Amino acid sequence: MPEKDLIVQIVGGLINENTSLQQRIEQEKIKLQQRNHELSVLYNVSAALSYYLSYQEIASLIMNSLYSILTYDFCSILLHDISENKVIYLKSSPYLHKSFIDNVISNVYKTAETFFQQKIDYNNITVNSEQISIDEAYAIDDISQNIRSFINIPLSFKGEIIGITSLCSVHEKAFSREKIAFAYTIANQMATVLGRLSQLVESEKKRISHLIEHLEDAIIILDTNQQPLTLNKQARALFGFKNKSGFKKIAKILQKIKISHLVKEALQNNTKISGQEISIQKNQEILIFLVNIDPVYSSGTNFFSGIAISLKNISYLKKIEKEKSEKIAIINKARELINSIANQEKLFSILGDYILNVANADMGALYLLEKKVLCTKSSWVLPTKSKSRYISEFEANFPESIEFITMATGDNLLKKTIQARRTLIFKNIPLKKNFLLEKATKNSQEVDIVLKELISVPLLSKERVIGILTVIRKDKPEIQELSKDDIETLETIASLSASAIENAYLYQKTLNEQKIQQELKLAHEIQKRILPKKLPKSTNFEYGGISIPARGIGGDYYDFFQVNKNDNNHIGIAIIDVIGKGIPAALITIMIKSIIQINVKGFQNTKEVIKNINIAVLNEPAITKFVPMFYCIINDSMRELRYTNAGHEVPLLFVAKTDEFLKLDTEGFPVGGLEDIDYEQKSLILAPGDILSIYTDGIVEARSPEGENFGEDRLQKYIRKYKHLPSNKIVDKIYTSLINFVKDAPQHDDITLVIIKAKDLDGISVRHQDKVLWEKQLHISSATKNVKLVREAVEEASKIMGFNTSAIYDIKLAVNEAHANIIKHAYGNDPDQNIIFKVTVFVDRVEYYFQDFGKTYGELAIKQTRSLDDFQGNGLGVFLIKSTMDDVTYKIDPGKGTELIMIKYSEQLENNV
Amino acid sequence: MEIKQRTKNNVIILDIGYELTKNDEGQETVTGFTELDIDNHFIFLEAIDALLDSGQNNIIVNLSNVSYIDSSGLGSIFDGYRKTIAKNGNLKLSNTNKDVKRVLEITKISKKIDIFDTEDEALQSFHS
Repeated sequence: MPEKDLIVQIVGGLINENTSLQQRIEQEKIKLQQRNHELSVLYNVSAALSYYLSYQEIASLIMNSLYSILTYDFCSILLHDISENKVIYLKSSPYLHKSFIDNVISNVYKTAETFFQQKIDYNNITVNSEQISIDEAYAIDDISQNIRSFINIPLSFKGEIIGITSLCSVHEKAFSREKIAFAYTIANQMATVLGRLSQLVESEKKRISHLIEHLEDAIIILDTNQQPLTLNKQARALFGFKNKSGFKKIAKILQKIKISHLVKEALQNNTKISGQEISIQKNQEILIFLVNIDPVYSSGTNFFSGIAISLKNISYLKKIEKEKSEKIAIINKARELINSIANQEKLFSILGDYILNVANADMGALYLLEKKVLCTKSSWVLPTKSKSRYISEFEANFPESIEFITMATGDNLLKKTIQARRTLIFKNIPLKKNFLLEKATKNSQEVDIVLKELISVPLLSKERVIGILTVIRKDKPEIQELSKDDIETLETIASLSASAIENAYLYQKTLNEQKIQQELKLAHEIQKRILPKKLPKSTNFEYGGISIPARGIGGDYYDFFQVNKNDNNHIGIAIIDVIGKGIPAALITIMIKSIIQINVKGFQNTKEVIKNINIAVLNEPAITKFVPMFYCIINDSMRELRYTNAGHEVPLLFVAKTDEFLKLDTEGFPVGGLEDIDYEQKSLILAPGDILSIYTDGIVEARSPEGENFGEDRLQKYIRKYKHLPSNKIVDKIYTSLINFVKDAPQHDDITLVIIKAKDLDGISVRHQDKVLWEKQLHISSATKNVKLVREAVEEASKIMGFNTSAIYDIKLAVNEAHANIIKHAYGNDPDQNIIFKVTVFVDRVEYYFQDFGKTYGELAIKQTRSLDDFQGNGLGVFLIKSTMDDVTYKIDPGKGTELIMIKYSEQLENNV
Repeated sequence: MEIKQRTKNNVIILDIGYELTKNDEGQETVTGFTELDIDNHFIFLEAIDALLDSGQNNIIVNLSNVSYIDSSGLGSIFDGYRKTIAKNGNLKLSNTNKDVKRVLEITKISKKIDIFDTEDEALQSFHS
């Protein structure tokens, strides 16, 4: 059976061999698969490594790849020379004890020390660990957890070891030769990539640190322990560090500049802080910095390694900002000032102070062009602090001296400013004694003053020069030149002023007009109350008076008084002329009126009256000015005049008998002027026809447009001319003559005139003038044919009076026009209505009287303007009536209809004028 | 008031007076003084209108017998003048008395309407 056994043996051996072959084939198959897997991992790794830029990402990738092949329990990659801090990346099984890991790490460090041949400061190593996920990790049965397999692979780049990769397992022989070979391959790849990356990072770092070093901003880089790593040039300069040794003081400095809390915050929260402003005092100058704090990460890692503090000097920006806001504030203030003050003078003065302040100037003046003439409106001089004994001619004559400044070109400064329409600036210029601005001269004796700066700004409103603002800065040691900005500010203020002045001017104009209107209205009311309401009743005298204030109300006042109660025989006449015009004068007038009223009662002696009034006025504190006054008393029955003049315009007495004028003056001083002054009383008898004229200086000083005074001679001439008229008519005629004389020249003073005329001796019985010599009355219809009838009656009466033919023609025309007005306007051309016409001839006058019962029309027609060009309608009629007749009165009485009375006095006055 | 119309050198002359009388040669002339006023001024204006309607527009108004003119009268003279001018003709005044002339001057009518002392001067002005 050996053969059989052999066969069995052989077959059995073959079968065995086959089985083992099968097994080997299976094994090779697995190995091949393993290779394939390793190769694909390698491929993926090298592909991934080419675009990973962070050490951590690379380390993580490598450790994952190694795990997929070597299934370790612990893996670490320690990087030594390529990172600022040494760093170790760990990947370990979640089932490992901490003691195991610590043990392994310390093993790695020991190995590293032998590799790098130096001690390793464990505290200075950043540990970055991750765990193998539970799903992937293999369970560890071994409770003792001893290191049974261990590989250390050095990472070398260009012949230098840059780190160590370590792998370990609790299992024995956990890593096959093939797997170890794979680990080497992949570690080498990693080393190459890490090495290149570190070179890249290094050069980048150099570039960055160079950049940081030379940044304009101060940069401080602190590590997480607030220890300074870097201070760039600017930072070193800012804090005065000459070398690294000063860096220790950085914590104090951060505290001093008040950013410690920010640094702390940034470090704690790993956050960015920006936009904080701080101030640092440096060489007695306050600098403003903008602080930004950014977290810093270690190069090639995501590790937060500190913060970078950048300090950007924004002092200049701040200064500009401050200047801009100051400028805006200045301009706003100026605008406020300008707008708040409507009163021009006040505006100028306040503006002046302000401009001097803004421009840091010593003198200034403002000129305005008024009707093409440059007028000084305001000038300002800063009071000098130093009591300099020397005052230049220029300053002494300021502001007029500005007007005489001549530029080196021969142009007048102000004229040139207007022409140039732009700001003229002269700097450090000596001004010669003749106000000649010249380039620096060596002959200092000729120099009156050296001006640091002379700035002449035109005031432009709507492209038009309306004035000039001139500002002068004297040469003082501490003074700096004005900047372009300062000048711009000055120009802005000037332009604001220009428009404000224009506005103020317009406003003032309106205000003045309103004021005048109001004043006039008020004046009218007061005036009515001041002046006598009626003329005195008298047997032997006629009284007339007029008072026309220059400005609606004035300081002139005249009055008639009953000297004794129930005594019509003694009439007191007072006239005063308070200095000044308008309301203030009127108020004094009212006070004096009451003083006079009290003091005239019961006194027959004008001297006593004036004396008492003098004392009363002196005792009245509200009256600060003396008051010229004339007072007289007329004894009507005795025809006696007693008078005292207290410095008033001397009254004129026309003496009929001699055709001469007497001046009624006495010794004395205006009332309210001096105490213990003696006055004088004079008296005389007034003969029939004598005319007393008491008047204020406004009469004789009234001026024609040519500037000629009305004068006393002219007054005498007109008194003589109108001596035949009743007193009130003389007043009217003189006033009319005066108005014709001054024409449209503005009345500059109050005008007051009182005329007292002594009647004829038979005036005691019937008024001579009121004797009717001839009369004709016509009751007619309103038909136009009756116009001729009336004209005939007028002609008849006029002939009796002895008017000349031209005068008769004019009178006929005037009456005719009045008659036509009634037909047209009262009766609307209805011919069947009633008109009463009456013509009466008196000794001295003819009265023409119409009465109608129609529509009221007259006032309108009578008051129409005397336009000669417009003779159509009633214009001519009204003109003829007014110019021909001496007196036109118009009465509307509901019962009696409308009455029109026209009076013509017996001489042809118009022919004489 | 009466108005008599004459023609001389193609110019119409209007004589204004109180009444119409026949002279020795049997011709009608105006005589006596009249007053041109509110009562009769329209008569004058009607005469002017009639002349202008018949195409005659060179007119002299002879005022030698007008002693008085009121504003209505002045108005009618001025209206007549305006109408004549509008028809490219002219109206002139002659022989005004001194008061009438004065009123014409006061009213400035004399600045518009030519006024002559004599009829011949007025006629000449039309042919110069």
